[in-house]
Amino acid sequence: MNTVLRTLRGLFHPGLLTVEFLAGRRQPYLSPIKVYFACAAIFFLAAPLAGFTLPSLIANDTSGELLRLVTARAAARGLDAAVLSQRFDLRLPSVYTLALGSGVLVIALLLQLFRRHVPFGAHVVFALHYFGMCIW
Amino acid sequence: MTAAAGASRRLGVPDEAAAGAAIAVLVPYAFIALRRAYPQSMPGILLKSAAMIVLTLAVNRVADAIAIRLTLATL
Repeated sequence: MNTVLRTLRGLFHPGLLTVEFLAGRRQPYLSPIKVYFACAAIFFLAAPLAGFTLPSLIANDTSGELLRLVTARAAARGLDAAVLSQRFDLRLPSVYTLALGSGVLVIALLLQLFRRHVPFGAHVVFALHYFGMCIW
Repeated sequence: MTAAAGASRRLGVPDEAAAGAAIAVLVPYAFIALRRAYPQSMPGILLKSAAMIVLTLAVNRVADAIAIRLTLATL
């Protein structure tokens, strides 16, 4: 538990976890991939409070496209709107976390362009910590 | 970004203001993180920070759209 708290606290010191990891001081902290998934877990808990629910997303979509997609999907699957909404809200955070995870590679590739002499793995470590914070 | 999006939806703040708040947090965070992890000249860090923020916002927007469509498709 101390490791988790120390790691989460470390996230509020930008770049600290990356520096510590690359310097070999890895024991006191969660590994970068675990940091990303720990942040994702917090996002899962906070998502409904933050309005990441289907009714909220539909209400904020001024184009009306989402409502059209949802209506079409509900009709195609023969699902009641309430059931579809419930399933959507349960699944969205995990799909979003995976989709955002692709950003880790994008940022790591960008850093690789700027700093070619640094191993790619170091950039991935930085990007995992950075995107962990971004999820919040 | 979740906190900013949540605040905008809960408090009825315009999306642009929420995006501005997210950027206001992300810019110094990215700058300090880069300065600590990749020590180098100030212009170099500023350039990287700017590129990272632009990419982060783009990735977030794309991830948002993909996640919604993918979630619907898998229901």
